[in-house]
Amino acid sequence: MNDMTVKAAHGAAESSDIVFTGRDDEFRDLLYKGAPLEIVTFGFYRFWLATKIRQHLWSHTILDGDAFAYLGTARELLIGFLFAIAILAPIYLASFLLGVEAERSRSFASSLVGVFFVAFWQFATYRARRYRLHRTAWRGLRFHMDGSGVSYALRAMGWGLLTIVTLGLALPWMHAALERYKMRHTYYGDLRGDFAATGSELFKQGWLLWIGAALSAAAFFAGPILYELTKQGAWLLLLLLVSAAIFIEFYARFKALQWKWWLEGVRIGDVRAASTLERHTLTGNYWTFVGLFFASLLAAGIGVALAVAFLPKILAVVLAVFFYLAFIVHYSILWRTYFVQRVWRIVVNSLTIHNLHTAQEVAMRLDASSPTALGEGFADSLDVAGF
Amino acid sequence: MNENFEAIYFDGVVSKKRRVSLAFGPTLEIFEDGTILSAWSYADVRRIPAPPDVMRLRAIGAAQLAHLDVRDGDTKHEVERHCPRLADDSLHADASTLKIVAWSLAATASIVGLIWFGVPFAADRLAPIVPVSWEKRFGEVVERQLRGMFDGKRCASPSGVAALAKLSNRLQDASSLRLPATIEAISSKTPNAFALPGGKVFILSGLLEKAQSQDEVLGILAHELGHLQNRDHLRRLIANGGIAYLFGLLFGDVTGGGAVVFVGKELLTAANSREAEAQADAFAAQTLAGLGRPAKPMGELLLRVTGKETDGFLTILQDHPLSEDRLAKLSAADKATADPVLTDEEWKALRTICD
Repeated sequence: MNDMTVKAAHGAAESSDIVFTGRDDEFRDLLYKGAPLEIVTFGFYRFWLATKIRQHLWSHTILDGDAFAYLGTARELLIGFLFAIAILAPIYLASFLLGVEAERSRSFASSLVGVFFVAFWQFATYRARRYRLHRTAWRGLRFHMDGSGVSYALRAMGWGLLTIVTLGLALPWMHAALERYKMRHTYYGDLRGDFAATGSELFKQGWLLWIGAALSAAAFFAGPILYELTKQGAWLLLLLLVSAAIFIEFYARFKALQWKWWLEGVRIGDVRAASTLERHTLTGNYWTFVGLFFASLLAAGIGVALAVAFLPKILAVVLAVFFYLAFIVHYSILWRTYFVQRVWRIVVNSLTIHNLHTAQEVAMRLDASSPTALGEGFADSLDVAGF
Repeated sequence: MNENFEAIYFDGVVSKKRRVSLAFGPTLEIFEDGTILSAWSYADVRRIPAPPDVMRLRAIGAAQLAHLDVRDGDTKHEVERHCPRLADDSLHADASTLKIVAWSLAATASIVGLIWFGVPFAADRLAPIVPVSWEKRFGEVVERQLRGMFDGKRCASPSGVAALAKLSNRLQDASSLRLPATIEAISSKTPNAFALPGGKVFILSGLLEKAQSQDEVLGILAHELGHLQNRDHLRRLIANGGIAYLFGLLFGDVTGGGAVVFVGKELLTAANSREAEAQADAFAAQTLAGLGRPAKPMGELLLRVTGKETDGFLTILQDHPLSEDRLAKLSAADKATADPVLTDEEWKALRTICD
């Protein structure tokens, strides 16, 4: 390693390219085939589609001339899901009985069951991340992750409580603390990760957005109040729309900020990234999604209305079901296009990687165990979306 | 050693990108600067997915992620000539879509079969072994929630309570219940009555107002006792849990799948519930026959409360059998051989129990 350190000192300004070479039409074809198949197979195809999507994204992400590889299989996801369902059965039963007992003793204890599931959800997302990292390789070497899902879930719950109590002001520090935990347990071979960005940096860049969130909440609650005063339903709708619009805009801005902050904070050994991510690229992406979503909702609604108005009852019901299915298929296509592939492309193409030469000769970590997809299974059965 | 066959090699242990030359001897030998790094036997070499115009090779028995990237045409050709089982890669084999669809449909059919036949069967067998003390606990929880919904005002005019107790005693004498029931009247506009697990039966004053004769009320109460006797709430609780769990196997987090699952669940619970209602009706008819009172008035009260329910397209969504059908069935079981249970005075007191 000695000559490596010498080399590192010499090439301090060295930077490498990372690009996403996937074509939009290729990804679209993947979804137009996969999303209807999800419906036809009563959902079972989702494991294959998720795997194909990851293979597509990973293999078209080229760092310094070499693509990432996704090594997971659909079979692993399916087995993980089945195990998760089996393990969750007694937990569901216990939580039901606990809920009954809590309800009897007239306390708010039944909400403890809800708290347990939120904590479990955190645990599941941690384990799901661990699975995905371990199935990611570059130059014939895997990433992986250790640490404890339980410990992470406890931290996440503690920070979550603090964030609620401070009306969201603690959010930046929560993100920083949780990312630090995740990244310090992330490895590329035996090269350990870290997270260098801080909560106060995020707070300094984003505190104005907090006001945006407050505005959105104010508009949301102003609707019912104005309705009570004036008895005009139009206020309700108008302010709901205003509230939603403010929320979407500020959420997108927050995401742009958070991405850049996160990307520039991530370290793998001495390797770090600089990002030129611009706010409008991401907010534009969000609004495109919103526009297309409402367009397809409108189209499906008009289709159903026409069917009901002009066709005999049975035929109208059949057509309505068809429009509903077409809508959910289209929605899942839109979601995956704009929040998975587009975001991935925007993020990857904004990056420049520095000090990559320090990762030229990383060795495999010997005590690394291979995680199962159980975490993803838990996440799937608890409706956690992710790519 | 032929220096012309060039490739990129990753050994799967260290992330180093090595420019190597290949030698096609007795085995496929990989050289870097004249030193041999590895030798793959030709039969072990497999071609795996790679970017366009790259031939990526792995070898069985080598480090799991060790691979060679070949870009040069001549070298590719030479690899193809030597390695007989290039195409036999099982690690990256793509399952055929048709196969996935077929297995998914088979799995779905088995899950639906389990839901349709297995769940009601399990609920029938499990409900009787739930201890009465547990049943009472569930009952307490439901009662607390119901009292919240109906303001919880209990109706207690003394003469009304006495009349209700008389009805209750005569009904329970005639029906030999598995556990004693307590019948209570609650003030509410809603015309309804229900039994809770554990033995409590509630009749809402809205129903007393709609009733035109005491036999109508008698029949409804007998029907509710039927639910109690058949442990319908426990069966429904167990069945709903089982159905929700098994439906959870389908769709998972597929967007919009929730609605499909919801509709499926509703159809199924409605079907189970229709069956339970019909059984409670039969129990009521039998109990009324024991008391020598007619069953038809109960059906008439039901029809008055629900209004006409003609057989339409959405019948499968209803959790009760059609009121017309119930009336017809109950009329068939109609037998009046004894005097009314309550005197006219008592019946009047019962109707005004909430005043």
